[in-house]
Amino acid sequence: MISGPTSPFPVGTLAVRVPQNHSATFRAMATEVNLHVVDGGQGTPVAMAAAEQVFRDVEAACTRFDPASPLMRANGSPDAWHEVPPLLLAAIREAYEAYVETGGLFDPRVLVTLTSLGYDRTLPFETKEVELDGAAQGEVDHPGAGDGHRPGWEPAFDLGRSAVRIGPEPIDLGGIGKGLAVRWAADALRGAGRGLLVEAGGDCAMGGDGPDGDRWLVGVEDPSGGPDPVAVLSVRDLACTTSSTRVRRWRTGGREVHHLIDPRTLEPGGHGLRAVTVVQSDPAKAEVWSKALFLLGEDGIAESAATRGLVALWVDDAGTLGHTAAAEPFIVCRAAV
Amino acid sequence: MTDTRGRAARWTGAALAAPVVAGLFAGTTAWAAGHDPLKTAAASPVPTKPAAAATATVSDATLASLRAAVAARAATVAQLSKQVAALRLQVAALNGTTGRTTTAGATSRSTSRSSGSGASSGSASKGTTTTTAKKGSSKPPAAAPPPPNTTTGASGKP
Repeated sequence: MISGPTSPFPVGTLAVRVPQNHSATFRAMATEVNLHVVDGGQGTPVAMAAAEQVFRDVEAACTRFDPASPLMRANGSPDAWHEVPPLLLAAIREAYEAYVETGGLFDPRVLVTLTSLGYDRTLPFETKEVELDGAAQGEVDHPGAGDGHRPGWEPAFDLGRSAVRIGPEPIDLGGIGKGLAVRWAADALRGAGRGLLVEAGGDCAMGGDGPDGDRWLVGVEDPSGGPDPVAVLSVRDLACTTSSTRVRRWRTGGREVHHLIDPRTLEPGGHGLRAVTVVQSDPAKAEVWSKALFLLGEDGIAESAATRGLVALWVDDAGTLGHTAAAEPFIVCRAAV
Repeated sequence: MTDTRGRAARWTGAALAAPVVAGLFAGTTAWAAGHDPLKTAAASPVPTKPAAAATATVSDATLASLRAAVAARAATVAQLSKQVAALRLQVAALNGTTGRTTTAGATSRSTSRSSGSGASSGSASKGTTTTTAKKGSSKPPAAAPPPPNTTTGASGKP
């Protein structure tokens, strides 16, 4: 659904040009997506439609909740070669780059663990507490799982044929797929106005001017559910993503679990942390690093994030807000958590 | 980054200016409270004229002058009060409302050696800062955070 312009003045009634903001909200990839263009022009609605289509296309190609999707067809026999849409091929290549860059902390092969925990379909996290009776308890059949000798992920690509061999395990592209959709949608909106915002389920990309100045103010959600952000960041031409257990958590097999699986243990990870936010120029990279840093837990996040020069903030189980020194210039306000 | 550093410089300037302005404000307020215009008039040299007439003439002129001075200073005090209030808000925003340095019950741990240089992951910038503000700890009233344009958080809205 696209609406706008939001100016209260009819076009043409004023001598000066009135800034026109365009907004769109729709659901895709199991979350709410918001698009916003500051001071757009006549071509803005077309650009916004293109941005929305990006989400539709990424969802269609990369969803794991539709057995007929190209991803799930490839997952069905991961050791075989599959010709796939270029968009899916690009997403798997990005996932592999992220796997290498993070030293395996980002690993899309955790799909088997997620499904074994009952997260094999869209669950109503946003509307109620989820409890899955009779679900498995995370005992999964990964090669080498638990003995520390799990083989590395080595997908194969044939760019000429747009083909991939994922094998031997199926993969989940949920997180990085959303980051890529935000990246590509932002690309579609670039030039459509003086500023742009793409936000999907807490992952956002901001370009150009904000609606109230030359920057965008981004609230970092309180992972304990409080109404006020734990911090407000001021950014321009950057992306912010957060990995959090606030929403996508559920009970199964008599224990509480969440969706951020540590590939080293094949269990829900991030001991001692509730949420990690990363600011990066690219939303897909930010998504990858927010997840990877989360999995390091409260004992490892500070040193790892600082060593890599990442702009990162985190909230631990005790309600402590931490951040790297690199994040300091972006923080305009901190609130009690 | 230049803009960020400029903003940091302005915040630092504001933080430094706040105590000065607060001092001015306090001093002016103390002066105004400690000076009785009538008492000042009585202490002024009085020409040797017949008592009743001299008192009436000097008191009227001096009183009017002093009243004008008091009014002017009251206006200055009011203006300084506004500046102090604005600067306090800026300092509160600069320091954060968890009170890295002022919140009771809060602890601060900083091993920062650099303020960082941006969002790129290329240059390593060591250092982290942790701010603690446990629930239930007493803390000063929090300044309202600026309304954000968007929010980053968990996947999906509650």
